[in-house]
Amino acid sequence: MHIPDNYLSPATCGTLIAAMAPIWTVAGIKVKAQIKRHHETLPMLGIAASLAFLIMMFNLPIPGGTTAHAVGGTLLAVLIGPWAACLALTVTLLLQALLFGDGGILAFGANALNMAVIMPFVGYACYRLGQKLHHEKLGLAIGAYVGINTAALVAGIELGLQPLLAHTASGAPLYCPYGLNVAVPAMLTAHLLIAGWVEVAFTLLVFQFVKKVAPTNLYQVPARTNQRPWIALLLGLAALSPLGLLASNTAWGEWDATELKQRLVQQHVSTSAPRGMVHGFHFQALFSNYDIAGLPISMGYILSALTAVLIFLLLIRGLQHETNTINH
Amino acid sequence: MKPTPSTTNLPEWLSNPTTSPSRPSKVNFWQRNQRHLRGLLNHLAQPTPIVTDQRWHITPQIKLIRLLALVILIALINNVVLLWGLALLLGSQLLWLPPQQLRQFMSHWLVSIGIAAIFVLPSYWLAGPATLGFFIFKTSLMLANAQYYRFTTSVQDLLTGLKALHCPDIFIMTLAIALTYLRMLGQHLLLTMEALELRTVAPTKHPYRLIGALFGNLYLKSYTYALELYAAMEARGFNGHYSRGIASSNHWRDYLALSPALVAWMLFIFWGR
Repeated sequence: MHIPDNYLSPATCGTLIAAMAPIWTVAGIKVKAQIKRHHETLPMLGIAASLAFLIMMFNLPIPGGTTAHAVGGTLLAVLIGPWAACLALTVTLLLQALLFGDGGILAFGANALNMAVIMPFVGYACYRLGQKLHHEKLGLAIGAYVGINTAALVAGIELGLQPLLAHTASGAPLYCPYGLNVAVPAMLTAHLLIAGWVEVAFTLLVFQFVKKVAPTNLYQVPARTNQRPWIALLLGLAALSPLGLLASNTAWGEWDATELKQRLVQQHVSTSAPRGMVHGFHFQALFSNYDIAGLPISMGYILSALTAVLIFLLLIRGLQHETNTINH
Repeated sequence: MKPTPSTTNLPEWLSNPTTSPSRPSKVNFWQRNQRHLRGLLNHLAQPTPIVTDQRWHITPQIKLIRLLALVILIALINNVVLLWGLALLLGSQLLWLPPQQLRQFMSHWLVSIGIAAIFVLPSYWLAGPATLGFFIFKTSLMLANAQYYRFTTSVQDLLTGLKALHCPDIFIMTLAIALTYLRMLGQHLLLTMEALELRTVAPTKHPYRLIGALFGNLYLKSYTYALELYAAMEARGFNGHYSRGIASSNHWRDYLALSPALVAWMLFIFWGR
C-alpha cells in the first residue's frame, strides 16, 4: 500500500501533506495529554514505531503458496491508543521512505493519511463499537478488516484520480497511468481477498495473547473530559449554518431538472434535462430545502441544524451503557 | 569358549535404518522471515559507510532541502531536456562516490527501479510506450536522488537536519528512539524465532497461533523497554522538556551546494514550462 514517488502529482502530494498537518498537530496535543497520565507513552511511541516496522516486515503464509504482510494499524491503535498509533505509524513511514526507500518522499502525506490515520482510526472506531455492544473481538476483527480495506480504497482513489487531474494536452497521463476503473478494483481486490484476512488474523491473535497475559497493558480509554467546548462548538456551527445563503447560485451538482436544463442549453451540451432526472423518483420532504412555512429561511436552517444535532445526541445517548449505579 | 552365534535378531525398527522425513525443499515462512530479519539486522549493525567530503561539508538541513527541491522539481518537470540536465547533475555528483559505493548505489537503484516498474508496465497497453518510458525515466531519476541522499547522509545527520528545520521535538525524539530500538526488538524477534524453530520438532498445525504469541511477547517486551527507558531518562534529569540544540549557521558553501537546484528551478519557471 506504500505509494512510491511519481505516482501522485505534486499538487495531490501537497494537498495531502497540508491535510495531514492539522491531524499531526492534534495527535501531538492528544499524545502530550496521554504522556501526562502514562509517562511511558513517550518512549513507547518510538518503540511502537519500530514494532510497526517489524510487523510490516514479517510475511505470513497464505493459501496458494505466497505470502502477505500485516500493517498493524488497528492493533497498534488498540494497544497504545489511536493518536499515539497515528504518530508511531507516521514515524515508521518516514523511516521507511527516507532510509529504506519503501514509499515515496513526496507521497509521504498520502501514505500517512492512508496508513497512519484512516487505518488505525477506522479500526479503533469499530473496536470501540464492538466493545460497547459486548462483542470486543468481533469489533476488533471487523475493525482490522474494514480499516485496511478503507485505507486501500482511499489509496486506490488517490491513484485513480491522477489521470483526471494531471495529463498532457493530448490526454496522456503524467503520473499514475491507471484510472479509477483500474486502480480502485486492483487495490481493493488484493486487500478484500488476501491482505484484509491476514490483518484480521494477525490483529486478533496478538490481541488475544496480550489480553490473556497482560490485560492492563492494553490502552485504557481516559475518563470523559469536559464536554462543554464540544457542545459550544456544535451550537456555534448550528448558528452559522445559514451562511450558505450568502451564495446566490446553487451548489455544483445540486441543480433541479429545470436549472440543469438551462445550464445544458447555455453550454450547448443538450436541449433537455436527462430523462431519468425528469421522470425519476421525486421525494417531497417535510421541510424541503430547510424551508419551514411562516419562518424566515435562515431560521429554518438553524432549527434544522439543532434538530439534527439533538437526534444524533439522543441516538448516541441511547447506545451508551449505564456507568453510574443507582444507590437505594 | 566359542562365542555362541546370536539367534535373536534385532527388531525391524532397530535393524532398518529409518530415514527421518526430509525437510521440505521449499523454504518455509519462518526461515524466510529469519533471513529478512538477519538482513535488516546486518544492515543496521553495519550500515553502508556514509560518504562525506571533508573539504566540502554541507550542513544536514541543506542536504534535506536540496533533496526535497530536486524531487519536487523532477515531479513537476515535463520537459525532457531539463530532466536530462538534472540527470547529468546527479551523474556528476555520483562521480565523487568511491567505486565500491558506486557499485552498491547502482545495484540498489536498479532493484528499486525494477520494483517500481513492475506496477507500471501493464500501462503500456493503456497509454503507449512514450508515456511509459517518460514515467520510468522520471521515477528512476527521483529514486536515484533519494538513493544518493541515503548514501551520503547518516541517521544522525537526518535527525540534525530535521531539528534545524524546526521539526517538532516529540517527532525527532520518537524517530531517534525508533531507530535505536528497531535493532533491539529485531534481535529479540530473531532469537525468539530461532528458539521456536529449535523447539519445534514437527510441523506446526497452526503456525498463525505462534505468530500471536511471538508478536504478543514482542509487544510486552517493548512495553518493558519503554518503562526502563523512561526510568533512565528521568534518572538523567529528563523533566518533560527538551533541550534546544545550538542553531547552526549556514555557510556560503551550503548556498553554493544548493545553487544547481535553484538554477534548475529558475530554468523550470522561466523556460521549462
